[in-house]
Amino acid sequence: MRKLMLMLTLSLLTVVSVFAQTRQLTGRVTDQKGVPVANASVIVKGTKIGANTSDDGSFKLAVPATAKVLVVKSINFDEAQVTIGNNTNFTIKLEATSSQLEEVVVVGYGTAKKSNVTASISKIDASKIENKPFASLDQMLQGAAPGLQATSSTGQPGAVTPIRIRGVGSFSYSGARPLYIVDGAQINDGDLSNGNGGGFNINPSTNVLATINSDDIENVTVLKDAAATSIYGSRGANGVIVITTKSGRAGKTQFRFDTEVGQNNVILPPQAGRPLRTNDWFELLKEGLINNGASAATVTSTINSYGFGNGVDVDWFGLITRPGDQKQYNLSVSGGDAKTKFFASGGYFHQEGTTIGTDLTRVTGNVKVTHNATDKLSFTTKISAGNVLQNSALASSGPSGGGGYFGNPGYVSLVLRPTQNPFLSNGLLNIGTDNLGFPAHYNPLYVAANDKRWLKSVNAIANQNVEYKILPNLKYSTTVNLQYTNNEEYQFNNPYHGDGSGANGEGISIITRTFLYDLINQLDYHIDINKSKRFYADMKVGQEAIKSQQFQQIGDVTGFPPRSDLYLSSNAATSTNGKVYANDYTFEGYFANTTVSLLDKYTLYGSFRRDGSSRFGIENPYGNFWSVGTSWNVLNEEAFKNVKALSAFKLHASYGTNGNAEIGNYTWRPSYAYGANYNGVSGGTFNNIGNTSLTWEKNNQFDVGTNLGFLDGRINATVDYYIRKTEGSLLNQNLSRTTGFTGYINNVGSLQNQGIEFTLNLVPIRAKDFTWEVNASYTHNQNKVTSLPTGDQLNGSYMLRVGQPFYSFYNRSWAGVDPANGAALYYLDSTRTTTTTNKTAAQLFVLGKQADPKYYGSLGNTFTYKGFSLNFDFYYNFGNYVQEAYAQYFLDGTYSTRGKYQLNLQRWRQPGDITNVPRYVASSSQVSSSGSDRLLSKGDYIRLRNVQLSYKYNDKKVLDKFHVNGVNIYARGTNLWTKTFDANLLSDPEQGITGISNQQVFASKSVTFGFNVTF
Amino acid sequence: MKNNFNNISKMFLAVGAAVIMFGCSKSFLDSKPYTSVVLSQAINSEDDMNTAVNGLYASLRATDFYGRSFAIKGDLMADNAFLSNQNSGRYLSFNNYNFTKTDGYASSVWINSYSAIKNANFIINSGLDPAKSTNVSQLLSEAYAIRGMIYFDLVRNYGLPYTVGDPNTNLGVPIVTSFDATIKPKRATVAAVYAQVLADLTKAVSLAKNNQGETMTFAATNKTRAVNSSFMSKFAIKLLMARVYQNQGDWANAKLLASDVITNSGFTLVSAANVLSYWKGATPLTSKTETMFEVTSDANNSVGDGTLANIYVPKTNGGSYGDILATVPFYDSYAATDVRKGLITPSTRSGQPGTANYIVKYPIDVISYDDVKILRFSEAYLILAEAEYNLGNTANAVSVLNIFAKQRDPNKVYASSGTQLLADILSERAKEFAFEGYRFWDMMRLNYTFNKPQTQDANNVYTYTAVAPGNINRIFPIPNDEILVNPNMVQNPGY
Repeated sequence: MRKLMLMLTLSLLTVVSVFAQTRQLTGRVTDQKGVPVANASVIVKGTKIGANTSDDGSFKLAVPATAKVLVVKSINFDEAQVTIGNNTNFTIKLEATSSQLEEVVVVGYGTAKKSNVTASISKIDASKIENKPFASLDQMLQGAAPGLQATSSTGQPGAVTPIRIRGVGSFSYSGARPLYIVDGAQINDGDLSNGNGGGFNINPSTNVLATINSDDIENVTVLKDAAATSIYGSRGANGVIVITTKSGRAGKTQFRFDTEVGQNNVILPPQAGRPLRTNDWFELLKEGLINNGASAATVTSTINSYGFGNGVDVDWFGLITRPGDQKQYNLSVSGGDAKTKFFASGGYFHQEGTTIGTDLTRVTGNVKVTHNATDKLSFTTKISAGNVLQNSALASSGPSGGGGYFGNPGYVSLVLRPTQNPFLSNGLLNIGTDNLGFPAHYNPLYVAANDKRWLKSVNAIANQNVEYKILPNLKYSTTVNLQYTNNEEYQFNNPYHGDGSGANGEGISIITRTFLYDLINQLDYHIDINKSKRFYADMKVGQEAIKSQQFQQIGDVTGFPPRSDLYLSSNAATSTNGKVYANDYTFEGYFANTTVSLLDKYTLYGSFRRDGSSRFGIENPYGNFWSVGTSWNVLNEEAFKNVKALSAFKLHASYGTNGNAEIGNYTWRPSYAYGANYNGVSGGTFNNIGNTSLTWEKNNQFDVGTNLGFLDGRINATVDYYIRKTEGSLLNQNLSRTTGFTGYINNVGSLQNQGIEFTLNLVPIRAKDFTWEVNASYTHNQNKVTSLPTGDQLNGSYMLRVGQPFYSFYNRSWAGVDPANGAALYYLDSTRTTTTTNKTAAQLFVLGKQADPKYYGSLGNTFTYKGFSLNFDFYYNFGNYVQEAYAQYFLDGTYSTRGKYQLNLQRWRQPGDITNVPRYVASSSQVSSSGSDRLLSKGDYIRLRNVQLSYKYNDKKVLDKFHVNGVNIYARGTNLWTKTFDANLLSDPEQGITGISNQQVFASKSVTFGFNVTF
Repeated sequence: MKNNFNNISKMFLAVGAAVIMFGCSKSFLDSKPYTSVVLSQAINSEDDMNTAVNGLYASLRATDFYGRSFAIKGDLMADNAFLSNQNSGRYLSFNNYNFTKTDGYASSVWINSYSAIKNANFIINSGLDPAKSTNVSQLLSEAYAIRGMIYFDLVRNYGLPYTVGDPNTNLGVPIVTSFDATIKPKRATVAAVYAQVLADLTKAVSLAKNNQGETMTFAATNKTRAVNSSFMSKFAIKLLMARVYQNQGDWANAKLLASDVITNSGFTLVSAANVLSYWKGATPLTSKTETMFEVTSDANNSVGDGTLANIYVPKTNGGSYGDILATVPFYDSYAATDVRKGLITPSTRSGQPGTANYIVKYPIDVISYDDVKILRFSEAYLILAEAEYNLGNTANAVSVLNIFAKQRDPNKVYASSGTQLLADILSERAKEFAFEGYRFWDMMRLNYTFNKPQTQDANNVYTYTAVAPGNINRIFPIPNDEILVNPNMVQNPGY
């Protein structure tokens, strides 16, 4: 810390000292064609005095009279030295280091020249993720890269958006996640409260990524194939998302201020999935009672008991939703000199969800300082911290989370009848328990007003990197990354009404502290094999050790005083649970890779990693992972030199293997565990079979791809084909239940994903003041299970079956409604030849309907006219189905006294009616159509993800007058328009990776206005 | 040359430093769990065995097991209770008699049963010698008794009653007495399972050292264990055996064991004056009053809202769901002077036409941790009365029945004979064990046809389903998830 302070002080002193000089130099730095080079550093040789060029390549520099030579450096260009003499205005042309395609991209444990990368990588620039009205980065990745599927399951601000890269590659839900790397080091991502220790989780949307300010991110790189990910060995199997944070730049200290404010509005489910209002609801109930054979007297007494004719007509969706505030402010400062560079920022983000009781507020701070102590030794220190306060609705997310809480607004707004008045005549909230009040499901307005459900999350990342150039071409570096996360969750259910009323109020607190360190030592060696510098090799060897330790404290209480404002546990009478859980894991790896490049045409890459983990059986803790890749930059061949139309042509291919270790920390251990207590005395049971020979899940991937550019880059396309096979998958192998266990973890089962990824960048018009740019991506992925240990295996609503997609729904097959009598019909078996009205007689089978999309992608258009820019980004998703997990309650007469979907308006009423909604019979013994594919709807949709009109003010004279470098203002619309393709769809089509709607917080759309200025 | 050497030495130094600093030992990868030990360290002393037996009892507490679903099934599937049309969505397949092979209750009961059997087997096969320690002997006795009890309930749930058809060919459930992860066992016959049950219970009786109210002392740790009603004590096991014989129709043995319990256990019936307070009273007991065995919960060890009080007692009475109601005829079957009438509260319910007869037998002050009574002393009298009736000793049967009935309704005197006497005994059983999960099994073992009420209208008129022998829903389906993984498993007819 002292060192950091010292460096900060030093850098400030430097900045101050700049103003003490006298002689003023100006100039412009360009490439050989005269294109301006931005961010080049211009430094007086032998001093720290320097500046960075601005976007137009210009620089201004005050130098001492003694200054003789300027040194100009920029990424991708050779260093240039210019004698100052008597000149005060310079035009400096830089020579590109070797080829024109010198963009550098992030790869495992370093960077590489894009032209020589043999792997499949997608890079997402800061401009795509800055200032978006989303609380966490994972949400912003939807449509940002081909092969990356991001499908959120809830509109809760800050919730985890599950991501799959190149399909579902692991049997376990959490195991199919990608690995996240921040500034070179592995982090704990996702929900650090869920499923650990005691498996408690009161705040389902805990998300480490939501604590990171996306405005602090320089770029995000998605590593997809084996050549890219294999160096991460044991954890790279399902792709790697590499986040690089912003760094300081030498030169004049630059400030940047960004703000975006606006409003979030709810995206309600499709009309069919909205609740019936009073008149229709009574109509339906009456018809249902009559169809059940009720007498006229019974019908009358029943409908009267539900308040028929008393004029109450509640719009539940309207009451539980609201427009929500959206705002963020970010201020950053960046600068430094040749020796020391810094970047510092502060951010504030606030989002109100569109469902009552949901919001998120984040405050972040971030400092990154790089200091070159000598020509050989440099340090980079980064400390970032984010503090999130999140209030959430009583609903859980995730694949198995139940949305069926009686106080969950998304659920009860459908369950409640339109005749249940939330307000008393005096305007107070109604918590009566008669039929016109809330006898079973709770008044969500009262619950939202009186219950608490918050998360306070602190996530701090400190990253210290030291680099030492042992030789000019041999570099040693050490990175120590520390991640500290503290999640403080609290839930209070008030003593009067809601889930806490039975216990006179309940309080649940969970505090989860997680600490992770990642140590990386590595040597980088560059060797020029001939003098031309066009035949070289880059080699890397390294070692990495990771340890994560988690400590979780849980305390449950009941018996609160008779008021709602004192909600902390300390007010309660009885403590019902107070425990501490802990769990740790370690990884240890050794890695090496080599890139050999010849004439900027041919590149050969190889990598190897040996990894060990505490998560694997004592007999097999280590695994070996390797990859090979090659690329051929065809454009650099003589034969293509004169093909003017071609601006890029590269082929690449790779094959390799990597691993997956995302299982419980102690799952492999056969164990006898304590905690099965009885009579207040400790008890123990044989609780886990374990598997001492358990080892890595292996993923073998082949990738081949090309990028092609035409017409001076006005057409750019990339195509990748991949096939990846997961073998020895970490799968719970089912056992006969008579063993006392339902299964045990084993390396069994295989999965395969194969697909094609396509991106196209077009510039149809590039005129003086006007450009039109089109960006499109398309991903097609075909997923299937290729082997299973014991044949078909039921997996929740899906059946795991060889040859079928992982998420294959297993259901009865709905055969529609008999027009003669309105009876619900089901196909008897998979031949779909005979129908039956007896649902229990109908067989369940794999229907050929899957939850993951067959293809998805994005289409963007950007029009730029002078300073104006108009941008539309669409996201599309096709080929999947959504299961309405709760629809049975709102469709059929089984639960006739609950709220009902408007889809019921299409019910069968008289012989001859052709409809998909059967005759409505109000009776609890009525068999519902749950468990049939009547409740599976097509999840196809197109969404206008982003529409933005911005104006960049560029009158330099005016800007200079106000000492401002640039001003940009814009208006943005997010998720403004959605098109779905199934009239029976009852919820938003975006229901997570698993495609099961779970009565979650509704999705949002927003309209925001933004402004940023640099000075 | 010198310069070069320097550089190379620097490089080695750096690599060396890195290896020394961060080179990992094997222990780095050995991250020990905080709540478990390896199996070989689990049971090596009588104290260890005590802990393991606690774990076994705790496993009985599961909601879809002794904790709730067994008791619900025994009443909701019989003729005196129905699911209110205002319900929380639980136990629909019980009320509607429409089990499918994927029924969640059938699946959970199966899994919970074999999981608890695995725990019992782990204790029984631990290798500690009962001859060397009376504590080990008593603890093993309890493990055998629990295993026997679970097999008895398993075979009743998934197989036909012993008294129906040929138990030597009717299929029961697989018998597993030791752990083997690879097994795919066949179903044993109903007779074979009953033989296993009786073997376990006989062994349990022979190993039992303690009656309720006694205290065990563990010398090595200077700890004690009060044998209270939450543990299987000597006479509780005998009453369970009497119940097994009753289900087999072996009346001579049923009489023998029921008499033994009544004469020798030292237990007393809860008196009429104390019935209501008995149901609300603190547990567990050491007083040898009424409760012979119950599964207990407490503030820190419970199944949360998965309890009987939670599903039976409505919110208006301090409970929660109030899903299951007693029929009006059943309520009316209690005489006004019958103290047990107070365990049902007639009321009205929003959305439920007619009278809502709420069951308030279960304590509601702490609904998340009420105890589930499994063996009560009263049962010994009612088994004895039925045995005497079946053995032709009408006078004895009437006498035993009256001794018992007087403790519930001071005015009640039975004087019946013949089939009316049997009906009176069954009616007394229905009243005494109402909503404790007995009634359905009486119908089953006697192979009766009965009318299952499903809904109730405003005039308290019911829609009934006549449940005759042969109705496939009288026994659970073998869970589909077991059949998928065990090709040797045979499904029950009709599923």
